[in-house]
Amino acid sequence: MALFNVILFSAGATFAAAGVLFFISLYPTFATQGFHIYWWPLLVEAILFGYTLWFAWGKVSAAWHIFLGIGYALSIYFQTFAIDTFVSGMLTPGAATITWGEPGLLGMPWVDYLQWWFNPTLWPLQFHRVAAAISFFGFLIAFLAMLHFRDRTDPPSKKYWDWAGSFGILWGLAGLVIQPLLGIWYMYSIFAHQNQAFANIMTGPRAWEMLMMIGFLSLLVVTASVYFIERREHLLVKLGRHDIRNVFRAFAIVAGVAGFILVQPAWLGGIMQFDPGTWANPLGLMYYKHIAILVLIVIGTLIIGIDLLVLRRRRDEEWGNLSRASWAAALIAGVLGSWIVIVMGYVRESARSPWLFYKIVPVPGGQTYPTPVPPHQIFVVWMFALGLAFAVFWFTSRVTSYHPEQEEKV
Amino acid sequence: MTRERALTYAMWVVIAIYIGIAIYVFWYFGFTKLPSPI
Repeated sequence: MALFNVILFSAGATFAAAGVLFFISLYPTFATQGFHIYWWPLLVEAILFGYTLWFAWGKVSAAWHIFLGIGYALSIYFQTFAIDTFVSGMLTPGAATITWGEPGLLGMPWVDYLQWWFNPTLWPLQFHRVAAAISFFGFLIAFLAMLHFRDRTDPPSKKYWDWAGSFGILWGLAGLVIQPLLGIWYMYSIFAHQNQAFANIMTGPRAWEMLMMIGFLSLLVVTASVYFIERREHLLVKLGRHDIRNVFRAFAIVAGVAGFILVQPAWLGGIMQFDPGTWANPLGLMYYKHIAILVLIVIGTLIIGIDLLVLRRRRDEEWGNLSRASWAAALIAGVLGSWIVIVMGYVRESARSPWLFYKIVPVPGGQTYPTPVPPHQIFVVWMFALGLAFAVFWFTSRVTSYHPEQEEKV
Repeated sequence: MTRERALTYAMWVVIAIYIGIAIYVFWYFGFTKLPSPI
C-alpha cells in the first residue's frame, strides 16, 4: 500500500506540475497575481512534497514506519490546506481589488495577505476536501481490490482482496456520510459571501451540475447498500438474521427514493425561474431535498454501524466468497466515487465563471472563450481524466499487487 | 458487561450522536439559513 501510494503520488504530482505550466501559459495575468499572493502557501506546499521521499523505507525501523505513516497523512493535510488557501481565495477573494505597493518580501501588508489566505470559504473547503479524499480513496481501494480479486485465482489472495474491497467500501461510506454536513456549511459560506456564485450553481443553466453531483452521491449510497445486501447475504442466512437482510434491502429502496427526490429540478419548462412556460416542480422543493440527504446520511451511518458492530467477528468466516453482484457494485462505487470528486471540483470552478479571481481577474478572451465550457465538452474532459486516472491506477496496481502466498516482491 | 460489549454500545452512541449532529446541521443551515430556490 505504501509503494502504491508513492507511485500514485508521483504520477499525480507529474500531472500537477504540468497543470501549473498550463496555468502560467494560458492565464498569465491570473498566474502572476495568484503566485504573488499565494507565494508563501505554495512554498509550504512544495516543501511538503519532499516529505514523501521513500527510498529508505526498507532500512528504517518499525517505529519510523509509524512516524512516517502518520507524517504522510499530516503532510497531505497541510498540503491540501496550502493549496486550498489559493483555490478558496479564487472564489471568495480577501479583498475587492489586488493592491500592491509595499516594498520588500511582502508586496502588500501582512494583514491583507491573511485576508486572502484565510478567506471565508477556506475552512469549509478544506474539511470538505479531506472528507472527499477519505471517501474517494476508500472507493478506489474497493475498485482496485475488485480488479485483483478477479485477477488472482488462489484462495488466500481471493480472501485478502475480498476483505480489502469491504474495507474500502466502509471507508468510502464513512467519508461519504460526512460530506453533506461539510457541503452544506460550504454552500452556506458561498451563499453568505458570494451570493451570485451561489445562485449560479443552484439555479439556472448550471443547476444540472449540483443535481448530477447529488445524484452520484445517492447512487453511491444505493450501490453500497446493494454491495452489503449481496456481500453479507450468505452470512446473514447462515446466522438466521433475516431482520438485517430486510433492513439492508429497505435501505437500498429508500436510498433510491431519496435519490429520486434529490435529482428533481426546482422548476421545469425553462432554464430560468421566471422564463415563460416554467412551472414549479412539486417534488423539487429544497426542504424535501434536505430531508432526503439526511435520510441518505442515516442509511450510510447505519450500514457502517451494522457491518462493523453487529457483524464484525462473523464477517471473517466469509472472505473469499464474493458474489458477482457485490463485485460489480464495488467496481461501480469506485467509478462513481472518482467521478463525483471531479464533478465537485467542476461545480466550484463553474460557480466562479467567467472569473478566475471572482470579480477581479476575468478569464481572458471574453466571449471568444466562454466559461464554463458546454456540458458535452466537459463530459469529454471528464471521460479523458477518468480514463487516464484509471489507467494509472490499473498500471500501478499491477506493479504493487500483494501476493499473500509469497513475500511481497516489488 | 465485558469491555468489548461496552465499546460496542459506546460506538452506537457515537453513531446516534453523529446522526443528531447531522439533523441539527441540516436544520440550522437548510431550514433557517439557506433559501429555497422556489
